[in-house]
Parts: sequence; structure tokens; C-alpha cells
Amino acid sequence: MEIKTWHNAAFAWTGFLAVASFAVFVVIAMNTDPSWVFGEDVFSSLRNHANDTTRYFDAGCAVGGLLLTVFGIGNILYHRNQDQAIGGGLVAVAGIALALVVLTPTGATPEDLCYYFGHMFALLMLMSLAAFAIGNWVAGHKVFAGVSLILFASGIAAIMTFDLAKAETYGLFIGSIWVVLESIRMMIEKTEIGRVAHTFDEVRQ
Amino acid sequence: MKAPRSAAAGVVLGLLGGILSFAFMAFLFEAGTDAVSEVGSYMLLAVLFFAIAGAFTANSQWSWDMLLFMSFLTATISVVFLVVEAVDLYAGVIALVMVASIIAVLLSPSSRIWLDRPRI
Repeated sequence: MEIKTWHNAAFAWTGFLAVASFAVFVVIAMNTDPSWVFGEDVFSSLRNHANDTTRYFDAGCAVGGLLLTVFGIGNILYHRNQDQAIGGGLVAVAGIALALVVLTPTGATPEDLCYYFGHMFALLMLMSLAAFAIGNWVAGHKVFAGVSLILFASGIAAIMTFDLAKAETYGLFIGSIWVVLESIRMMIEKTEIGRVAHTFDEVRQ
Repeated sequence: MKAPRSAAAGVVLGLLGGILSFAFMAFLFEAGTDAVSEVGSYMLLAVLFFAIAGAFTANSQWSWDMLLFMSFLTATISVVFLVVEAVDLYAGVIALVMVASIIAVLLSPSSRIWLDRPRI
């Protein structure tokens, strides 16, 4: 298949928009629930209300998750090596897992599907961090690979040491930083791929 | 080939990072059951910093790629130690600043030419 027009930058913008939309909706949800304490209460407890808090949080998960899926698909389409493609696939599935949180019943307990999808999202994002760390290193984007390595290791350390609420907060923070950095990397890569290769097969080589 | 100034800066930053790690270990030492892990954390950071300093010298064997990887590894270990509170907050932040400076030095073209020079 021959790529005639390069849309790296367009797909990269979906990464920025995913982070921005999720952050905006979650901040609005936090502000509508004064009893919710940042870093002490788990994010899923924002869904335990019948008022607008649940609606805003669900909107953040749905919009952020779907945009993250599009961003992951962009990474699959415009990869420099197989590791980046695998990482893109994992990000896409993680986005779907985040969006599926909306479909779970409110008032979730740790045994419910809401937690399952939340943990699945975190696990898949961590796995994609590892895949992108290798893929970016091989593709020559050493700094982006190094930052992915740092965020991956600190995420694992946070899961092992922090309680759930703190680990969630830290994970969303480093995840947001990473998606923004990967979006920047994707924008930078546009001209490089366009110059050296014109087909998917050439990109794979 | 004459060593560039960036290589000298890398050596100085690496040595400084190692010495500061040792200094923090000495000043913050408290005898107890946690002392072994705490001392081990500072010593690991010191060893990595000294290794990075040595890699900038004329007789080193590491390529630019390898040194960049080791620098990122040091940064990763610093962040992990900060997250699990294995080192003091100020010691961890200073280690991170030092290693970020080393990475900045490494990204200069003269460092890359120096480290990827043909060796006998």
C-alpha cells in the first residue's frame, strides 16, 4: 500500500486532545463534588453520584478513551518498526478499556467491572510504555525512549508502593505526560518518514 | 583527537554526582535496620555517576549510544528511588538535575563525535 498523504500530525493532535479533554472533564467533575479529595479518594468514586459529577467523569473517560484509541491507530499506521506498532495497538486497546468504564454500573465496588477496566487501562498503558521505549530507541528517538523508560519504571514503582488512590493519580499524571511527548514525537517523525520512505514496506524496513 | 570541552563537562558532572551521592550517604546515615538499603541506594547512584564520568575520558570503551542509555538508566533509578522513598528528596532531585545535565551534554554534537571516534 502506498501512502500518498502523510497524516502524522493529524493523528498526533488526537493525543493532545485526548489528554486535554480527559483532564478538563475530570477537573470539572472534581469541582462539582466537594467531598472528593484529590490523591486520597479513588477516581471511580466520582461515579458514585446521581448528579452531574458522574456525567462529567463519564464524558472524560468516553471522549479521552476514544481519542486515545484514534491516537493508537495512528501509531499503528505510521510506525517506524514493529515495536512502535505493537505499542500503538496497546494504546488503542487501552483507550477502548477507558471508554468502556462508562458502560459499567455506577456505585462500583473493587469487585466490579469498572475497576477491571480501570486496571486494564493502566496495565495496557504500562505495556505500551515499554514497547515504545524499545521502538523509539531502535528508531533513533533516544530521548523519547529514555523518557518512556523513566516513566515506565516509576509507574511500576508507584503501583508497588503507593495505595490505589495515590497510584491512580500518579499513573494518570505520568500517562498524560507520556501521551503528550509521544504526540510531539509523532509530529517530528512526519518529515523524516516522508523523506526516507513512501510505502508501508519501506517504513517497516 | 583532542577531547572537546563537552567531554570535560561530562567528566566534571559525573564526578560531582558521584561525590554528592557519597556525601548524602555520609550525612544522612542513621544506624538501623533500614540503613543497608539506604546506603546501598546512595552507593548505586554513586557507582553509576562515576561510571558515566569515566566513559567521557580518553580511554573509555563506551559508545555514545551506550553512554546515553546508562545516563537514562541512572535517571530512571533516581526517579524510582524518589518514588519508593529510598533516598532523601533533595538527594534524589540533585541526582536527577545532575543526570539531566549529563544528558544535555551528551546531546551536543561534539560529545557524539568524541564518543563515537574510532578506537584502536
